[in-house]
Amino acid sequence: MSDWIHDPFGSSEADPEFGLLPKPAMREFLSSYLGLSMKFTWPLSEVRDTGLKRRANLAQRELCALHVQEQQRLLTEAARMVSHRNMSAEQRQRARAIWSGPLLTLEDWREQCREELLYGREDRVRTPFILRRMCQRDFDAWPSAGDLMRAALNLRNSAVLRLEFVRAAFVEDLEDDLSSNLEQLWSGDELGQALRLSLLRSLAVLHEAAGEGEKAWACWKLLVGRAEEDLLAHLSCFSLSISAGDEPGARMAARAIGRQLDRYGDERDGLRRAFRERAWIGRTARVPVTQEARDLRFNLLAAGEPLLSELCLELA
Amino acid sequence: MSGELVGATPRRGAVDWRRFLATGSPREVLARLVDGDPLGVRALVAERLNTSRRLLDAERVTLRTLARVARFACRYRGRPEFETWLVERCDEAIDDILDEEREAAASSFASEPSEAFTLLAEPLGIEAQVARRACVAVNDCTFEERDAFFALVLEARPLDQVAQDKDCEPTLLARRARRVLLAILRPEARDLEVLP
Repeated sequence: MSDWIHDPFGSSEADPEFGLLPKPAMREFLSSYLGLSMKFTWPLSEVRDTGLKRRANLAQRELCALHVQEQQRLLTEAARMVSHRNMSAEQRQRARAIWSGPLLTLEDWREQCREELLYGREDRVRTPFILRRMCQRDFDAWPSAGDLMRAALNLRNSAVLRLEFVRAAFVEDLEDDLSSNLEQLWSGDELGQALRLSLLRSLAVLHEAAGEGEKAWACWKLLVGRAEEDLLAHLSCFSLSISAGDEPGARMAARAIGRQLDRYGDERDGLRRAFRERAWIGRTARVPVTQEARDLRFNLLAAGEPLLSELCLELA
Repeated sequence: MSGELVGATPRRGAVDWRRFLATGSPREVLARLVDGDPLGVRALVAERLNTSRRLLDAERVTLRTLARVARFACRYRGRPEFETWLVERCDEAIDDILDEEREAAASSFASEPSEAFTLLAEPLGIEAQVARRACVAVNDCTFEERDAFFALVLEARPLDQVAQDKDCEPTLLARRARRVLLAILRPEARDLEVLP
């Protein structure tokens, strides 16, 4: 019975059902009835752990995790923005090949950052110094993309961020062994299906940029096997099979592209995006163009098949 | 991210969201939302988890949804409709927890699995961490595979009836459910694939 106390207001007309109350509920009742602040009357340390209190604590923990996640997102977005700032034309192509999706504007980023700093402070969550500095400084004085990604990883190590880090390093042309980092991520269990596909795509782009056509082609094929409707992967397979002088491979990829084009129908945006992304990847690629590739392209163009000709002109 | 949520959420009764979201820091808003679930998030989470065929700790998703609502309440200006906005926060919370669970299951330094996994694991005579890994394996399967698994294994519905309802070949359905079972039994199989 020690958890229960008698309600001295049990006979109250306001709430006649309050005869016996558990202590915390009693406290709540008393504080509202007498207009007292719970904080002064019942110090938190004295309140017994109830279902509600435990739930509230767990919810606060989720809120803290969310703050950290938001800070990481802001740093990752900032890394993307910085990547686009001073990059050479080649790096810009790489960035486009690796990161699809729009960038935040500087104005939006600052607004979201200020919001996070304000609420982080109000919620008593530690906010990274780097974010506070960036909010006050000119965009030109921001740290490099690699440093920003490192700061994001310092907040919480996650496979998703490590993947983003490798991408940032690739765009900035850092010396690290990027493909081995991606392979390490691949062999772990931390990435879900969608991110594994995204990783495969990054690795394929990376191999193309390094001039390793066969490896890149193998990555794209793996991607096709896992996501049959990925038009970009089919387009890449076509492009690389031409580079390798592989006519059956090119024809097979063209057939698959034909099926995908039927599926897209009138949805022009999706189609255009896939062709545009392939063009960006193609511009970063350093896969050597052999005589065999030139001959195959010439033969396919001469064959007069509309789809093959169009693909050769667009992609090869 | 792994956003792969399907199906529309039916409308529920109108909620006076201003009363709960309009003032205070996220922590204060959250304290209001946790007490008694005034926005009906618990039911919404159950429905979204079932629609998307995910095996997650519903309580944790609920709390993350509430945290998301509290944190981003300042950005909500009455558009889109509150119900739609709430569903979006719920779906984001599901994606968050999916990612976190996947990383926790893969890590040897992960936090203790939540109570839901202990409850699931005890009658099966397995450890909570094993149950957590099994759930991650299920969640990583495609929607079609999970849908077949839920219908045939978890809901124990007759194969022919499910096939008729989903207008799908019974053998195909059975194969999909089996792929999920294999993923649970041999989660490492996926990683046998070597990168080029």
